[in-house]
Amino acid sequence: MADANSNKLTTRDLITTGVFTALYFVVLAVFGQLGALIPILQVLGPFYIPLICGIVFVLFTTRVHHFGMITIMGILVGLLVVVTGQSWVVAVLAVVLSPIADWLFNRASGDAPAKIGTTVVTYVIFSEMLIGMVVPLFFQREAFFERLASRKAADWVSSLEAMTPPWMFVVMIVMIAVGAFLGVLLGRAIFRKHFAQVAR
Amino acid sequence: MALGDALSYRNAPLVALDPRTSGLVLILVNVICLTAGFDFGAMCARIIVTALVTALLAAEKRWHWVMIVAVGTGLSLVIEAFGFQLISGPVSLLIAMCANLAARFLPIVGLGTYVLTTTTISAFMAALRRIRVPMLITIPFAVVLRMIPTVANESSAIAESMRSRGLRLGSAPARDLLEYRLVPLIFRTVDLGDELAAAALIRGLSVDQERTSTSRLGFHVSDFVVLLIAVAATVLWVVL
Repeated sequence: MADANSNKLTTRDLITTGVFTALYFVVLAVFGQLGALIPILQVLGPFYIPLICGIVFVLFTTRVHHFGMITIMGILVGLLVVVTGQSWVVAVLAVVLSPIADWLFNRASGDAPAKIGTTVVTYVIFSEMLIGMVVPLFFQREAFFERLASRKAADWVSSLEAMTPPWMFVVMIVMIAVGAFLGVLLGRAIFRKHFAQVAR
Repeated sequence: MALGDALSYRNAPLVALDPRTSGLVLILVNVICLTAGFDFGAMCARIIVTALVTALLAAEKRWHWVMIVAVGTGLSLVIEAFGFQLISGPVSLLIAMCANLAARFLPIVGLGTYVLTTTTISAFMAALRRIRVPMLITIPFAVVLRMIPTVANESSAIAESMRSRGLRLGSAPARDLLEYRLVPLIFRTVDLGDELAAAALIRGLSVDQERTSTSRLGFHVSDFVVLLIAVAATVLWVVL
């Protein structure tokens, strides 16, 4: 690709970013909804959501050649997540974390295809913004359960309350990291099987 | 499609909002519907907002949406406001829960549909350019707005075709199901994205020059009225 050598974002890069952001968000929304129905999935969410979205992200990283694409994607995902009724913390984390992920990725890989370690580190940092979704659950606990009680059935709420002692917050951060790591592995496996010729 | 009609001057709609007005109203309605409770002011705000969305949809003659938003939200608000005292037990709790979700999301979905079907992407981009948002943000943002409905459609079409082949949880390993569901979606989206990129580039989106647009932008009477109603609802909710 000719524009891979220049150091500026092209219009095509911007469109690619938009397309993959839409894809990432739809996958996030479709699989994230499962947790609204079943409390145990709500708790496993930090693990399986980055795992599934990893497939999309790995394919996206094969098209990233410049700083900026991952940042824009992160900020747009953060905005969309907030607009659809989640905590604003996600957007704040997105603004902080995605430039870091972006910078690391482009510094480590340059024009060459990214090594698996680079992708893992990038995606783990990128995914940690999702922890913002559960911040109200732990840090504004009473207000959160009060609000939920008006929206959800009582046994749904009490089982969620029982499954999330405060130390679960740290566990969830780790779960996102593990989920993201496995997501990259899964993404690369699926990628090799189906998309390999796109990679060049 | 509605997107094409919006470009022609001949059947100019009754109410034509500037994309900047739509965006602001969308934010206000979102905040009110997602966070307002049941006290008097909040209820007033939610009723006003629902009426506003209904009126906008009616101006576009989208009658089935008018019915869904007006009747659905109205009924849900009534159930929400009075249902808790009158009924108990798991079934009624489930009904109250559904009513709550419907009351919160129907106006937003209705307004979202209105905005998405009346705003052309070119008007949206022209409006963002007016308030000096750089192309770096405008282009991905416009692409996301354009692609999300498409990707969601593709996704549900794939889900349907999996159902018709009898593939559901338990009939195949979860990893395979995930693959069947995601890989076609990714392929389709990437293809559509490439077409979109080609179309955009051929219209000179990558040219570094002042762009012109045929969309009529500006703050007109209908913008003023709609914005006034939305702001009034917000003020009512905050003050009362």
